[in-house]
Amino acid sequence: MKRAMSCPAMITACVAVIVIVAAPATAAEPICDKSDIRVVNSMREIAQPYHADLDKGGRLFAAWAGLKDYVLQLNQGDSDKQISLMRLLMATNPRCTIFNVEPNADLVVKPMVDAANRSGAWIVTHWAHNEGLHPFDGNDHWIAHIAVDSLGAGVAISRHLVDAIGHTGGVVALQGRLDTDPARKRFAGLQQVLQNTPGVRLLDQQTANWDRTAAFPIVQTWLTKYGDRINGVWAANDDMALGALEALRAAGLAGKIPVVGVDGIPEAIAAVEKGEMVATVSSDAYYQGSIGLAMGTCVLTGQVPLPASWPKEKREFYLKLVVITRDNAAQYLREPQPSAYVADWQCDKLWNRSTGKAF
Amino acid sequence: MTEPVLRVEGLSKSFAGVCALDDVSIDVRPREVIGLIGENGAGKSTLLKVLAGVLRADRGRIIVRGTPVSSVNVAAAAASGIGIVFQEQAVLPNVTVAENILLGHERRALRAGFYDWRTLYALAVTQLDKLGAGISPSALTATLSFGERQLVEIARALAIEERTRHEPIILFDEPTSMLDAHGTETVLGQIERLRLRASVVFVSHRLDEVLRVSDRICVMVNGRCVSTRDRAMCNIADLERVMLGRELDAAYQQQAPLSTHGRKVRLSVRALSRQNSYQGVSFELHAGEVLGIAALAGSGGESLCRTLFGAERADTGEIVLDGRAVRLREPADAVRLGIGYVPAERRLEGIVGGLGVRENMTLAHLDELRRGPFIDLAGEEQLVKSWIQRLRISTPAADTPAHDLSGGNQQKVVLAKWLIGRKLKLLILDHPMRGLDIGVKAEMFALIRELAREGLGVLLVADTVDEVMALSHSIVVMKDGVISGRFPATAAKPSRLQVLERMV
Amino acid sequence: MTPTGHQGPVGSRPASAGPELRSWAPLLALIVLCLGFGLAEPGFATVENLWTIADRSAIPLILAVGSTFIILQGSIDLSIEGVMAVSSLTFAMCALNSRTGLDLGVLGLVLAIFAGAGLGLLSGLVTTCLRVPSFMVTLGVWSLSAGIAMLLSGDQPPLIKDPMLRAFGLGRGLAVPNLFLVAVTVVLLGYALQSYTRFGRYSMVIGGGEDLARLLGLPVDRYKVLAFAFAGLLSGLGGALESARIGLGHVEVGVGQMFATITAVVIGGTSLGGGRGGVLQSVVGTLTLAVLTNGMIFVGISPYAQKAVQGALILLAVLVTTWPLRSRLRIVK
Repeated sequence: MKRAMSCPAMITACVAVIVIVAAPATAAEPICDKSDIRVVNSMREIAQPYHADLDKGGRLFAAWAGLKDYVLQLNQGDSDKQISLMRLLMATNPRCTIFNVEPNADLVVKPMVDAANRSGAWIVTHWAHNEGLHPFDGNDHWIAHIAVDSLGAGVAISRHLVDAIGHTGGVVALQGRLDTDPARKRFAGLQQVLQNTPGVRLLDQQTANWDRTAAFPIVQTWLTKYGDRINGVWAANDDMALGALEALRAAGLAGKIPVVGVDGIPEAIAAVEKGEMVATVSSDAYYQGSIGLAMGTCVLTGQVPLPASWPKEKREFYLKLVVITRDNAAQYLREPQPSAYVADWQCDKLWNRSTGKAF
Repeated sequence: MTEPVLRVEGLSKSFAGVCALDDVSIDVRPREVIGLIGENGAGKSTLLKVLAGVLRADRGRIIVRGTPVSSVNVAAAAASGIGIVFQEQAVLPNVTVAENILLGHERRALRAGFYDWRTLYALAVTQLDKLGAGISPSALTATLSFGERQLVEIARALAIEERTRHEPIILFDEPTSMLDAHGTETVLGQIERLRLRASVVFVSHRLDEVLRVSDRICVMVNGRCVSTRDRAMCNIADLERVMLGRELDAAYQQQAPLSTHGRKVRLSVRALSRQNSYQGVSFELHAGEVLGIAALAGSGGESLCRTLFGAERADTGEIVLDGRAVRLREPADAVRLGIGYVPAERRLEGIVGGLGVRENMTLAHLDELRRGPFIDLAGEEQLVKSWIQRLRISTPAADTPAHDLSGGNQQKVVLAKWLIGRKLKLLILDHPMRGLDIGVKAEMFALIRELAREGLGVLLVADTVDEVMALSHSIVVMKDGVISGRFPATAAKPSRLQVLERMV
Repeated sequence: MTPTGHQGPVGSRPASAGPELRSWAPLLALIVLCLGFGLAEPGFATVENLWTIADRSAIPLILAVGSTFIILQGSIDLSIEGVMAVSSLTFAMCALNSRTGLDLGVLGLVLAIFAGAGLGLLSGLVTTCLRVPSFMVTLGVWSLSAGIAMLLSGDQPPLIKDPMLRAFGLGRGLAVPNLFLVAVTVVLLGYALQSYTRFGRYSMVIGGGEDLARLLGLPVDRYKVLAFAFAGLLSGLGGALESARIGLGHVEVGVGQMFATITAVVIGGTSLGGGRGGVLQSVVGTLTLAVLTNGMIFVGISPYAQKAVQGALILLAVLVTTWPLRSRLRIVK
């Protein structure tokens, strides 16, 4: 006569069945249906190429991911407006809304995060935020903060500038809006490099508020004041660098005096290729405009666990920057293809471009 | 019987239910001067404004040389040959005299759209010469005196002469009321000269002027032209009677002499001087006394008044009120000390046009109507009503905007504004009778006498001898900024000639 | 015949300091500024810097002439920046550029100017026909134009590639910056209009007494519309020229110009209430601001302090200009 399975075997089998059946339940459940997901890019304006590319990146992602509801919010430099626009959308279907945010000012991040926490909407921020505030401090709806190492960017371009003038001479600096973190950090990068390069002097610095039209007359005046004591021009962003370039052009000095900037806009890359600019730094606007949405989508579709369970360095990290010089300008001149980013949008590759924790 | 150059038939106009013109019909013959007289509010100004295109009549016709015209605006009226010189100055201060005179009609001085200034000036001078005015055509109008600006406005009306092929009809709305003796002479002379080639309708309060230059006189009462007579058949007394409808008591013209013995000195002015206005002015004003300052325009009388009210600062000298030296830095100081001021240009300086009668009256003394932070509205209403009655102010309601009232009633409102304050010590009247008609004048005279009797000190400045003499107990004459004659209350009353010769 | 020779009532001219003294104050302020900066920093007082200042003030001068007529009439134009943006983009897209296939050269400039004039015309018509205050209308046109410009710019601002136009924007004719030559021409034109045409004189009249002007039948509305169209035209010219200089059609090409223009007109002595001032006064005001900004860089005033210094000096200039008028009974709004 055959015996039935032994008791231990049966128990093991039962447990196995239960585990197999229950396993998917322990993985993250989809919070939202894909058709309900709304992705939002919140930025200052659309007129600058940098912002235009942010928006393009977001749209590319939405198209690739099959998300129909893409919203662009512009605040024209008004912090209150940025928050109120976000709150507007948070009033409807917040659980399935993902905000990818370029904060208008550092201080604006806290109210944004509070609003997200209260309403259940999801938010990813870039660049910089208030001191002492972190996603991993219980802000469960603040998926991640992707910091840009503005100091690193400033240092990088300054190094290229002093190299280009042979470590000796005088430079002038165009600062961005003095009350923004990128402006301060980038300039700090310049000062750091200058400290280590005794042969180079900072002749003068003014603010042109990120604007090329403002940069032009300032550089013009400097040329009159300092004449050929100016060996190089440092600008905290590409728009100002290009304005400076035109002023140099008016004086017949385009291409003769090295210029550096930050942002990596196509015009600047073209200038670098031509030799009129020496270097610029790109944080890759397409990436910045899409990665937050990708992260959020992965969370909402359940393909990654909730952010509250992530390790700290995955919630706040530095973005890899690319320094563009004559050597590699050509490859960045081409219009980027979606295929170049798809790899980074995969839910298991979301931290591809992280260079480490940012806290 | 010559065909009338201007005929008005059945003209009617109402403002907010108040009838200003009531079926007016009048003829103006070629080369004639019609004098238009009547009490304040009789409709003289309104009639002129309708003729000139400033206002549109509700009913009626205006016919110029047999052709009906509808003057939709001043330019259209001018095109049909009707020009007007306004009562309240209508010149632009920030452009040149020539531009004011030829405003809107510079075409003859334009070459290819560009101004030929020399021609423009020449055209302007042509008009100015008619008036014998030595005003430079390139002068900025703001630098001219009141009288000179008036002449510029007249020159502008006269310019119609050159533009129409027919003789123009010129309307004068009280042109002489703000002018001094010389200015008046000029205007009257000009009107007489105009008669040679134009028709004139001339409104004035001064019956003697009207009698002098008019061929016919039309008396308006309550919006109707009740009587039109040839000049030869009129005299002043007649006209007054028609205007008022009653006999005038001439007794109001005379004041009983005043004894200053035992009266305390209300105001003492010592060696007051202000550069370019007046020098070394000293006098004393007792409680209950009316001191009249007889001064031609520009002799310092008006400036002195403004100084005593704190609107202008004297350079040296002392002002002593009720025995205490005071420093008046601004009018608010004066008001606080109990000084009131009724200005000469009441429309500009006396009332706030857009505000109602009630608000205008209580303006200067809101403090006294306060209950905590709020105005005691019931109390205010009571007070305002009593003053409207007492001064017989003719107004549709207590809230009527002040600029809708006639000149005389506006003057009464200004007066009430000061009288409302309970601690008024000194009242300064700057040309109080300017632009008022006989009836209102009589009321004013009575009122001022009454105020003086109650112990108020009254200081007035006027440029007509009659006015000063009729009202004042004592007279001070000013000429070229200094006191040229004194006639204290206790002395014998001066003759008109005595006063006049010290004024001019 | 009335006796001639008598000038009217005696002693009746206003006793205050004549208007002449007051109107020289802004020019004096400018001279003092120049002297001050020149003494503090010798490099400031060179011919080269003179042309730098001239170049910097070229566009503001053009804008100031347009605003002068509007402000003389007692209105205001807040739409300058928006109109400049539209004309900048129009110009850039019509010239040889990186976005469209057009290559219209100078015709592009003409079209840009027309665009500006058209927007100005819109402002003028809405103000006069619908009787909306110019403050509000031009604010609306500013928004509208900025929006149009953003649509035109899209995500890729057009870069100007026409070498002749760029050379004009950046270059000099006989040591004098080209744009400054254009500005001088515009100033002379403005002065001629102000002193010798009905447009100019009637603008004064309207500012000095619009009610009276209407009463006397002057076509006030017509001249108001003209003033706005003219200002729009000049804003258009300014936007296009600035684009030629920096090399692209830019939505932000006019940022800050509205406030700067009105400030320049006011410190030059043209009253915001209308009826007083003029083109030459605005020129003085514009140059003062340009000298101020340039001088501060020369003297080395830190960028953190510049805005404060600028504001303080503007207050001082206004104070000096209006000091003689400080009689306590003057109404100030």
